[in-house]
Amino acid sequence: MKAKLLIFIFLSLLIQTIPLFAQAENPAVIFQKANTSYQNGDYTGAISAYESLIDKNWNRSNVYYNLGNAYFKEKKLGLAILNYERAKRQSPRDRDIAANLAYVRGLLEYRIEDKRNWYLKAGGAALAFFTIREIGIISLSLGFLFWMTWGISLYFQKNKPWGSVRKTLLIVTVGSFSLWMIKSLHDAAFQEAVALKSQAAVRYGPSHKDQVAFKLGEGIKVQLSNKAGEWRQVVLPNGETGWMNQEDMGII
Amino acid sequence: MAGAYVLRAEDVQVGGYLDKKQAQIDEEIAFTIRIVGAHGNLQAPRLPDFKGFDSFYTGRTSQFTFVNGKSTSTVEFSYVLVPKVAGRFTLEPVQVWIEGKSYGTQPLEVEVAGSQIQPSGANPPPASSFQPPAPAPSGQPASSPAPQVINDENIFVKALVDKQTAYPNEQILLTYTLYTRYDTRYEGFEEEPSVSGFWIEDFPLDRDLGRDTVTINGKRYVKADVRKIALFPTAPADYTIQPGTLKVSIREEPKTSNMFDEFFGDSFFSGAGFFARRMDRLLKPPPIVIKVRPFPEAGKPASFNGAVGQFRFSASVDKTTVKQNEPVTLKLVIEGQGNIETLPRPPVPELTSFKIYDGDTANQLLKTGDNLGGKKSFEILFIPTEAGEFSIPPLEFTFFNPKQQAYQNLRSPEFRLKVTPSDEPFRLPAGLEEKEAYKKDIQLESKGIQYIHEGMPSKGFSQMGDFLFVVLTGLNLLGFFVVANGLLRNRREAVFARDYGLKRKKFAAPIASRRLKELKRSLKTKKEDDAGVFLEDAEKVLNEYFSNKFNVSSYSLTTEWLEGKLSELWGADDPLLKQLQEFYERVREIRFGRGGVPTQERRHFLQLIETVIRRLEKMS
Repeated sequence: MKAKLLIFIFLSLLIQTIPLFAQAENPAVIFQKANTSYQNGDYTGAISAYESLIDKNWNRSNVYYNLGNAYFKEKKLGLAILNYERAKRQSPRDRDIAANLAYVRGLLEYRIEDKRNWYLKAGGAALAFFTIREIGIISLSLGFLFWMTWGISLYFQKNKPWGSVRKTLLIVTVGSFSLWMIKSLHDAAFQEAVALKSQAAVRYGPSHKDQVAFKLGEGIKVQLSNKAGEWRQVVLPNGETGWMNQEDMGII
Repeated sequence: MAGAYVLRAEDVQVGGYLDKKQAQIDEEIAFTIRIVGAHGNLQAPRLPDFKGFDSFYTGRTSQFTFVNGKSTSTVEFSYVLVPKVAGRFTLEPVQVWIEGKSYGTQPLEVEVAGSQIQPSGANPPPASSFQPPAPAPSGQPASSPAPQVINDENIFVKALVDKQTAYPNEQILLTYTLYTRYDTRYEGFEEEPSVSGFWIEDFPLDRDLGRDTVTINGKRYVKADVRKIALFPTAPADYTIQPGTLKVSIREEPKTSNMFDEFFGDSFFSGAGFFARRMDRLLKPPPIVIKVRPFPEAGKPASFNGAVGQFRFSASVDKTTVKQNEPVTLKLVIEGQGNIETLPRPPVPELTSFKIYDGDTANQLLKTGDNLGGKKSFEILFIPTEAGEFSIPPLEFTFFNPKQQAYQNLRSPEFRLKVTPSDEPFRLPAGLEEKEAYKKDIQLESKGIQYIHEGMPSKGFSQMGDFLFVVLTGLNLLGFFVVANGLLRNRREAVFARDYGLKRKKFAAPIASRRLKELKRSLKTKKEDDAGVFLEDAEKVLNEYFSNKFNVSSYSLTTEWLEGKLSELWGADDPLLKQLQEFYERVREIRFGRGGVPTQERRHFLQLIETVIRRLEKMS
């Protein structure tokens, strides 16, 4: 009876994934059209086509990356950086994305010194090296291995003490799950955005009446904190904070 | 030559060498510390107190060579050791700091013959009196544990520079002069001077560095120069040098009379008096301010690249007739006074007919009076790539002469070369061919963004990830339940292993239930003639249940015992007990062949058994 129940649960989970395969929309033509427009120097047309793919939920890293390139050609550095950042979220180890992001950032008028402690920088870089899904799959694989080794010992090797393999596996699995949890919490808690407007005003409060604290150059990445209507509190890597209108930024 | 390398890193080698292993008292032994593979400004290592020896720093030499395809930089620091006591000694390792890492030489053994030993009282004052003497023998109540900087007019040190304004890279001589009215022994630097902004070079001291007596404010002092450092400022600015702290040991009472005579016989100069009661003192001279002026702009040649001093410049080539693709070595030698170590190679213009590579460089540090100088040589390889007559144009070496306050420009002669044709293809000269530094770098001509990704973004891969995620989640849940079940099962088995009766009680109902199912199935197939078999089976089921439930042997389960047990549980007048008694009575009747059992009655008995089991299970 128990076995039947477990098989039922397993099959139910399996069936849930089938609709993902069943989506029959084929955006290949749009993507190729966008690439052709880019190659022909019609960057506006390319942007329009790439954007339409994203609207159709075809928001893959290649699309964001190419869109970033098209915006760069149109000299819209803020939008280029925003799309590179979005692409990087999905493909954090892609060299082209990293190279273009670094290059376009190098063209910005402003730079902000990252005054975070070295361990925060290192931790951030480590978390950014994987996507949540990748860490999740690694964690679940390790978890399954761990359950399997423990289950085998419970049913077939009774009274056998925990060996170094299982202990190591436990530590690695717990570590991996912790990293997964931290990454999930980090991404949920620390939303990021890119300034899209040149000389975007950052104010001391969430209204146009509040005094301007400083102006942010286009393409600067900020961390988002509180929200008040159309305004978001932004935190710069150097620790400066202020309120910025959502219209002036693109959330990564 | 006695010595050994100590390998501490991939490239850096530190070794200590003695020119002899045996010596007489007062016979000089050359001690060399050789550092191979280190880069940057190396300071002369401070020697530890070699017990029984006086020691002197005498200078350095350095060399940059290519051997078997590898570039090697070698710096040698030279010292003289003068044995003062006979015996067999092990010189402890000398610690060398290179780029923040500590290296050490190997311990070296040396034997000092005692034939020249003279009675200590008859020893003439050695010229080595300004070096730190050997540490006091153990047990000597010599030094106080925590020396302090105390202002005492009877002993002080002056740190003086020979000039307070200078140009970048011009030598400034910093001299530490000790003035004392005590019986004093110089112990070295407790805190090294802070000379940020200067290239520094310890100035080799003469063995017979003068000591003198002076009168200051009516008091007679003996003064001695204990250390000299050549400073070369790196950039124009106002600098403040913290001269550090010197350590001396003194006799506690100042000498008040006949000081001059006693002075030359005391431990400061003779090394005697080790067993006298002594006290450590720290002496801290005041900071020194130095102004470094920028070079004058007037008349500054374009070829000037920071060399300061007084130099001579010469050049030579090893051959004037060569084959195509055969290297010609141009050797440039710069010698004179100034910071030899940092002299750059005179620039070589682009020559289209030659490939040009740097070869070995070598420099040697020498002292002339109060000035440091020496000789630096550069080798440049010119490889003609075509046949014909060519020339190596004059190379310029420009320096600023601070004495004349003027720039001076020296030129090498022009060397004419006759290059004969050769079929030999070009290749890097031996020694350079494996050196990555001599291969030309790829030049980045412009910068831009990487091209778009033309590959179709595959949703399948992403969906595979989603699928894998779901499958793995399911497998983890499955694994969790499997492990949880296994843990519960093992725990239950452990409990049952300790209490078998509990296991019987626990499994009494399930076993009986299984047996009853079999009986129900047989009810459909067996005929009424098989009544005896059916009732016996039913009785067995019930008895097995009671036996398990009450954890008694089936042999000790009698009708009387069972009636007593059930009466105890249900009461003697319980209707179910009556029915049960009737059941057993009926079983006995059938067993002895009295009558049959209709199907209806069989069902009744099965229900009775189920009711009994249910009731007992509810009670437990």
